[in-house]
Amino acid sequence: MKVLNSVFSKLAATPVRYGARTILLAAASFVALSADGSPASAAETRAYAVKWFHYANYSQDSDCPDGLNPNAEGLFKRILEERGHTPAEIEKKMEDFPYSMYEAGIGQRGEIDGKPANPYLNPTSTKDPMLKLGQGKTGYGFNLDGKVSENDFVDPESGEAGVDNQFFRVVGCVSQLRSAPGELPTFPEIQWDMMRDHTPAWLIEFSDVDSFENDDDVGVRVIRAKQPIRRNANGLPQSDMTYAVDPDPRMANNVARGKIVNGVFTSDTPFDFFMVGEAFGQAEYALREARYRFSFNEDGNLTGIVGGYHKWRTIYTSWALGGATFEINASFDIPGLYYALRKAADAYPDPETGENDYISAAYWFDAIPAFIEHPAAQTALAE
Amino acid sequence: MKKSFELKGTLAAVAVVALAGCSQSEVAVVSTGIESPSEVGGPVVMSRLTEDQYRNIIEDVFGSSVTLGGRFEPDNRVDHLIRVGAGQASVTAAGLEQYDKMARSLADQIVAEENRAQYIACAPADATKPDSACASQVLSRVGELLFRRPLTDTELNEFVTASATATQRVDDFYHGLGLGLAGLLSSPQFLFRHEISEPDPNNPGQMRLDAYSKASRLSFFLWNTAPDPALLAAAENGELHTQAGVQRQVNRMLNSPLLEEGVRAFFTDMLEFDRFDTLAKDATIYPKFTFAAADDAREQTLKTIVDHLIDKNGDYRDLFTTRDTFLTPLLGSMYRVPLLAPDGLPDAWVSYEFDQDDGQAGILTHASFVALHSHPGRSSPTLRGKALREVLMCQIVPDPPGDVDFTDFEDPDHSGPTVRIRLTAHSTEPMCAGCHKITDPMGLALENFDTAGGYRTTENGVPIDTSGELDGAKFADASGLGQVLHDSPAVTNCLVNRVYAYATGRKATKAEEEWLRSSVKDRFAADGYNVPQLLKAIATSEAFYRVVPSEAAMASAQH
Amino acid sequence: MSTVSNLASRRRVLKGVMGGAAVTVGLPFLDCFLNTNGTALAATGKKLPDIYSTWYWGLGLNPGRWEPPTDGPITELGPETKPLEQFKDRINLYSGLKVHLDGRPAITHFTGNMSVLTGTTPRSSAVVTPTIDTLIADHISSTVRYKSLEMTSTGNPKHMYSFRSGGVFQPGEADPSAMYARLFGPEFVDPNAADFTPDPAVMARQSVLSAVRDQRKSLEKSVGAADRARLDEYFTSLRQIEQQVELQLQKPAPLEACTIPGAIGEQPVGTEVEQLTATHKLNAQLAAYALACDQTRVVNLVYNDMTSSLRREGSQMVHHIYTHEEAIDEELGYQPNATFFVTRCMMGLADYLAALDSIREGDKTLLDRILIYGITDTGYAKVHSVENMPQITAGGANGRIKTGIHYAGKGDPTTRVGLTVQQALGLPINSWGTDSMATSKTITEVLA
Repeated sequence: MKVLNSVFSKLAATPVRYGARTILLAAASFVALSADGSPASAAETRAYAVKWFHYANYSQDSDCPDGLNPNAEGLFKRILEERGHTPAEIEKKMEDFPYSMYEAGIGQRGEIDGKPANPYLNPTSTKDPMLKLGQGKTGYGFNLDGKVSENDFVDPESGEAGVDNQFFRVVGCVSQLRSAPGELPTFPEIQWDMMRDHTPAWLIEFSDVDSFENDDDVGVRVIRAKQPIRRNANGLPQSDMTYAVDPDPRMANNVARGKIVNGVFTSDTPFDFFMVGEAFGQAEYALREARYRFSFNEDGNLTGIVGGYHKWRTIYTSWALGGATFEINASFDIPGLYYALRKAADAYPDPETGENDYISAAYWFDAIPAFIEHPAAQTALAE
Repeated sequence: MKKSFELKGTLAAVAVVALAGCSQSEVAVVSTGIESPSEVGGPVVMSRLTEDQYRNIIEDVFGSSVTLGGRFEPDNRVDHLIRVGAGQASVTAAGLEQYDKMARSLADQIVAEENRAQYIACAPADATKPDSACASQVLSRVGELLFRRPLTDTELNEFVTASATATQRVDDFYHGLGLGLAGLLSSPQFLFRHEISEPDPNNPGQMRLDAYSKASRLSFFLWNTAPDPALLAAAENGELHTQAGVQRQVNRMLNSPLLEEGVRAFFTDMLEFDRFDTLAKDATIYPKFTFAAADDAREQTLKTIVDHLIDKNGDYRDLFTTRDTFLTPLLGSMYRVPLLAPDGLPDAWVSYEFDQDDGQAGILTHASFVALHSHPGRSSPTLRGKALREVLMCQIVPDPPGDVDFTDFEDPDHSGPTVRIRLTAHSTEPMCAGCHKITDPMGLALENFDTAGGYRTTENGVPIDTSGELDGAKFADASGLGQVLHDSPAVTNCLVNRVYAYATGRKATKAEEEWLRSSVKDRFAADGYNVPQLLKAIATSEAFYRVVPSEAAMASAQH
Repeated sequence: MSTVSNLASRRRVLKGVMGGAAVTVGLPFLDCFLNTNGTALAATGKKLPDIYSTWYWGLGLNPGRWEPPTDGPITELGPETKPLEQFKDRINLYSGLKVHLDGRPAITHFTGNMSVLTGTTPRSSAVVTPTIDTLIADHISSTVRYKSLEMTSTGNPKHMYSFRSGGVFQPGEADPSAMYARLFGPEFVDPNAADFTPDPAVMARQSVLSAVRDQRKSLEKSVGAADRARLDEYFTSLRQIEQQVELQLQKPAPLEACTIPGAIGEQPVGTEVEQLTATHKLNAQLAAYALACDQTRVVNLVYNDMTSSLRREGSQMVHHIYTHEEAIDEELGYQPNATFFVTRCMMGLADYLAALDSIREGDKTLLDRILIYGITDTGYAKVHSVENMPQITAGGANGRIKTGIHYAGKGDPTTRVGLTVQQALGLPINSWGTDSMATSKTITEVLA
C-alpha cells in the first residue's frame, strides 16, 4: 500500500491551481465566461449534486377515502378468485405466498384470442381492475395549461391554483409509490439508490446570481455529471464533491432563466426537460412545457421540483419491464397502472384515437452542495 | 519501487546492490562528520519489532505475494514514541500465539507445491525424508536475513535437527522444513532486535555496537526494515567499523527510494498516526469522515512531508507554513475545495496549493492533525493544543489534578455558541488556567477546522475568533500560529530529539542531550533544517554506534 | 409482506451502522448461539474447576444512588443498580471502600483503576503490575489451553487492563469474530467428540517449539537484567504455546456443558453505545462458551474503557465529557446524560450475568461456578473521586461466596475485596496490597 502510494505521488498531475475555498465562488475558472474569456460581472455561480429525485408527492391520508389499492397479496387473491379457485384453495395457496405467485403464472394472466398473454406487454389483454386514484386537493406542481379545473391541485408551497399533476393521482393510492411530504416513496427510492454507485450523478447549477434572496434574472440548468456520487459515512451522497459535466447533448437543454423571490427560484419560460434515467425506475425523464421551482434552504441544501407533461407510456414501460417481480415485491398491479395512466392522461391527444398521450407530472429534487469543474473550452451558459 | 531481495538460493550471498527505480536528487556527500565526545552514547536497547517492521522484513525476504494472516499485538507508546515503547515491550501469550500462527501460515505458503520453486533452490533427495543439506541451505539463508546476522552453528544445527524430527513425524520434507521456517519466525532473535556490544579496538576502554548491530540500527533507522544483503555484507567485511564505510552505506541508503519508507515510519510514529486505526467520528454529525477519508487524511500529510523534506530537500520549519499539499477528490470535499483528479479517477492524488486566504498552516491544519486530536462529536482546542505542545514541541503538559470539582464555577447553561466561550473557565479560573493557558490558545487558533477537518468560519452562527499567543508570540489565526511554530527553536529542537530517540530506541542520556542541543542542532540549522542531512549527521556520528552502559547495566554487570 | 421495502429500510440501518465501510453482515447474534443441553455433571462427580472473571466498566457510579439503602442482605437495590434486579441475590455490592493516596498524586482515572486492580497506588503514570487477574490466573488457570482471555467491547485492543510486568500488556480482543476463530477454529479440541486421534502435524510442531525454547540460555547470557526479564516473559509465553500443543494431543475429559456455538461473522465495532452493547453481548456469550468448554479459567472482559469513550449517535458529547461538564439537574439531583451511561453499564453487567446463567451445569449454571469481580476507575466520576469506589462481585464461586449482600465499608481500602476474592479462589495469601492499601482483613461476611 505504501509503495503504491509513492508511485501515485510520482504520477501526480501538473499542479492544478484552484481558487478560493468558499462555496460561493467567484473564481474565473468556474463562472460562465463571456466570449473573450473574462469572467462575467460580479455574478455568482453555485452548484449542487442531486441526492434524491422522485415523484413530487404530497400524500395525505384523506387522499384515499376508499383505502389504498390492494397490495401483492390482494392482487394475488383477486387473480385466484377470477380463475375460479375456492376460498379454501386460495387460503392454501396463500400459505406459500409469495412463491406461489410465481408458480401461478400471473405473468401470463392476460388473454388474447383465448390464449394466455403477457399482461405487462399487453395490458389490455386483462380486465381493468379500476385502481383507485388519489383524491386529494393539495399537490406539488405547476399550472401547465393555464386553467383551473376540477382535477387540479393547489401547490402547498407556492399556493398556486390549477396545478396539473395527474400522475400524482395515479400513484396517489399505490402504497410503494406514494409518500407524505418529506418522506421518500419506497419504490422510487430503492431504484434511485440501487443504481447510483455506478450511475452518473445529476447536477444543478445556478449562474448569474447576485443575491440568493432576491434576483430578477438568474440562470439554472440540470445536467449530468461524468462521475457517480460518492457515499458518506451514512450511505448518503457526500457533499462538496467535485464533478465534471457530461457533454451529452441530450442533457444539455434543461436550461432556464427565472427569478429568485425570498429565496425561491421560479423559472420563466417553459422548456423541454430531458434526463436519462435507468431501466427499472424510469428509463427517461422527458417533460414537455417544463418549469422549475427551487428553494435555497438554510442548511445549505437545495430542494425543488420540475413539472411538465410526460409521455405516460414511457413511464409505463419501465414498470412493465419489472413484470411479475414488481407485482410480487412492490405491490404493483401493472396492467392496472396502465389503465390508470391512460385514464388520467391529460394532454396531447393522439390525432387518430383522440386519447391523451401525455400526463401532467412533477418530480422532486433534493440536492446537496457540490462543485462543478468546467473544462476550459466550455462555452457560456445558454441565455 | 521496493525491491525485495528474495530468498532464492541462486542469489549470491553478497547480493545485488543497485536498486532499481527512480531516485531522488543525490544527497550531497558532505563528509565532515559530526563531532561526538567520548561520553556521548548510551546503552544498547533490545526492541520488539513493530508491526510495520515485521511486515517490511517479510516483504523484503519473501516478496509481496505472500499474505500475512493474524493480528499484531498493539505497540505501546513510551516517551511519545512507539519506537521507544518497543524497547520496553515483550510478547504476551496471546501475542506469541498470533506470531506463531502467522509464522506457520507464511511457512505453508513458502513450501506449498506451487510456490516452492520460487523460494527454495535445492531439493531433497527423498521428499518424504529429512535432508539436512537442503534444509541447512534454506534455513541458514533465511535465518541470516531474518535474524539480521548469520546463524551460529548451534542455532542452525538445532533448527535443522528440529525440522528433521518434524519431517519424520509426517513423512514430508517440505512440511518439516516449513515448521523450521516457522520456528525462525517465532524466535526471539527474529522478533526482538538484539544489540550486541563489544570492546572498541580503536578506542580502548570504550564499547561499540558489533558490526551486525550497527547494520540493524542503521537499517531500521533509515529504512524501517532489516539490513539488506549489501548492508549485511558491509557488516561482515568490517566496512561498518570504518568511518568511510559507514558514510558509504549511509549515502547509499539516503539516496535510495526506500528512504521514503523510513521517513514515513518516523513521522507516522512522531505524529501518532497509529491512532487512526481506532479513530471514529460521529457519523450523524460528521458524515464525511469515513474510513476512506481517514486513510486519505493520514496519507495527505505523509505525502506532503515526503515531498517537502525528501523530494524538495525543504526546510523542516516550512511544514508549518506550506500551502502545498496533495489531495484526493474526497479530501477536496472535506476541505470544501473543488478538486477533480485527472481522468476522473475517483481516488487519485493531485498536487494542490491552497490559497493565501484559505487559513492553512501546513500540517497543523491538515485533517490528520485536527481530526486526530478531537472528540468524535466536536473539536477540542485543549486536545489540539496539548498535542501541539507534546508532539511538536516536546513539552510536557501536566495531567489534570485529581478531585477537580467543577460545581463552583459551573455554567448551568453550558451552551455558549463557540467553544472559546465554553472554555472561558479554563482560562479564568486560577486552578485551571495554569495548564490550560499552555494548551487552549493554540487549539483555539485551529477552530476554523471542525473535528473532521472541514473548514468553517462560524460556530453556531457566531464568527470564530482564532487569535491568541504562544509563549509571548501573538498570532491572529492558524497561519499566524504556523509562522510562530516555524520561528520557534523548541520545534526544531524537538525534532532533533525525537529523531535521535527514534534512531536509538530510548531517551537520550544527559551527555547525548547536551550534544544534540549543541552540535547536532547547530548542524541542522546550518544545513537549512534539511531532514535527510539531519539523519545523515546522526547516522554517521560516532555517538550513534558508541555504547555507554547505563548505570543499571553496570550495576548488574557486577553480579 | 413487502420484502422490497424491508430490504430498503434494513439496508439503511446497516449503512448507518457500518459507517460506510464494506463490512459483511454478521448473523443475528441471538440466533447463532444454541441452547445447551442440561444433563448431569461429568460422570466422575468431581466438582468443576474454579473460574474467575474481571468485568470492567468506566466512570463509576453516582454516590448515594448505587448503594442499596441498607447494609447486609440486599432487599432493595439503589436506582443505578436496578438493571441487576433479576440477579440481586447472586451479586454482592461493596460500598464505602476507597483508594488511599498516601500523598501520591491522584492521576485522574489511572490511580483509581490501577489501585483497585493491583493493590498498589501508583506513584507516577507508569503502569503498576501485576494486576489481580494475573495472580488468579497463575493459580487456577495454568493447565488449560488459555491462561486467560481478554476481550474488549470498545473496538480498541488497548482498552484492556491486565498487566503482568512492565512490558507485558495483554491486549483485548476487539473483534468477536476473531475471538471465535481463536477459540473454536481448527485448533479447538472438542471434549465431547466421540473419537480422538492425535494429529501428527500437531506433534511435528513440538520439536521446533522446543528448539526455540532451547535458545533461552544462550540468549539470556547476552542481555542485561531488564532485558532478561523481558525475554523471560517471552519464554513464559512460549511455554503457553507448547502447553496448548500438548493439550491438542490429548483427549480432554468430556464436559456436558460444552457445546460449540455457531460461527460469528464480522461485526462493526466502536464506542457508540448500541454498537458497544451488541459487541459486549457477543463477548459475554463467547466467554460463557469458552468457560463451559474449559478453554480457559480466567476471563477479562471490558465493557467500556477507563475514562469511557461511550457515546450516542448524533451527540457531540461523550460519556466522559458529560461527567465533567453536565450540570446537575436541580430536580433530579444528578447529571441525567452522564447517568444514562451509568445505567447502560449496569445493563451490560446484567447481560454478562445472563449469558453465564444461560449455561447449565447439572442443576446449577456457570454463574454459580464463577466469581466475577466488577471493577471501575472512579467513584464519583465528575470529580475523579477515588472515595467510595463501587465494587461488585457476582456469582457463587463454586459455593465459596455468599451472595445477595451489601457490604458497607467504612473507609477501608478497596483491597479488602481483592483479598477476599483471591482467598475465595484458594490463593494462599493472608494479606494483599502495599503501604496503606495493604490489608489482611477479609470480608468474612461474604465468605461461605
